[in-house]
Amino acid sequence: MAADNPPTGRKAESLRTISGLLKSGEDRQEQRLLNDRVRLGLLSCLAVSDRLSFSELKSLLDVTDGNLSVHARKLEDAGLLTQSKRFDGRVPLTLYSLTAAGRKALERHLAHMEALIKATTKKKG
Amino acid sequence: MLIDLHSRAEEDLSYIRKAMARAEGMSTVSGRASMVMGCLALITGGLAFMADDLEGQLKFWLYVAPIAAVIGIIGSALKSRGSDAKPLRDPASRFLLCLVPPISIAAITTHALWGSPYVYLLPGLWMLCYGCGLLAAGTYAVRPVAIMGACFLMLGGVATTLTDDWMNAAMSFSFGFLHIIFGWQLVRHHGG
Repeated sequence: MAADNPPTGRKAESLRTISGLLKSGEDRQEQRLLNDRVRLGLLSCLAVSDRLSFSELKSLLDVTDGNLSVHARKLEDAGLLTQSKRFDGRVPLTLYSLTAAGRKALERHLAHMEALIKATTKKKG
Repeated sequence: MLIDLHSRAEEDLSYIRKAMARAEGMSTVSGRASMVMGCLALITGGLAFMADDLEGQLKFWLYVAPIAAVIGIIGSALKSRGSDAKPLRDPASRFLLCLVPPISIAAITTHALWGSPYVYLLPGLWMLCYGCGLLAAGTYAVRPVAIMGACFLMLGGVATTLTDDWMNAAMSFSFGFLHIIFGWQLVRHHGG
């Protein structure tokens, strides 16, 4: 139905502004990756702390071991964070840190969110 | 649709801010310092048992309180430095801002009630105020901090119903064991 009646006027202008925020396919892929709260939380936490351990991130984001592993792996595969392992005494410690690409992705996501808020506020007003 | 996008974007930004604030707090509270403070409290409790009355016992605690505070601050600074975060900057100052008002109230009330028949309320008051401060500071730190605050609140409530004979034991238990138990939790799970 919507395709038969394309939006016009102010609504169309708003949609154009919003769609303009999502540029390339790579951007869309990145946005899809960051649309998940756990992954977004992971990047946000690592943006303010150079290194965080697996257990610290688990406690901060209130997620299960499996859940955190899966999301961290996805971000690692996308090159947004790195993982390193070391021993604290005899206890193995998995540490995560943000890559330069990860920091840029988070900054872009923040810019998108701010632009969306501005665009929709202006149109609503 | 526009409203949905708007609220989703706002929720995302708010989530990011909260996650960042919590992660900053991760390197704020030192578990090792908390354990040292707990041991100091147990020693103080042991020494305070030698005093004849409650006021005498409280004097021991009041002398040691500033030392414990300095240990906590130094521990936080060292932990922040160890984790490459900026020592004693935003997260630590927010943490301190949460603790200072209730502790100030406890200190002022202690001064006001000293020598009065209501001195027996002071141990409970200190536990309640410290618990309030930790609970508020827990917003900027990891969960054990807020849980420790809640435990202090509960024990403080119980302490207000105890007789003078039990006050020193209540202070030793709360400031000693709670600091050690939760300090150990921080060391084990939250980076020292």
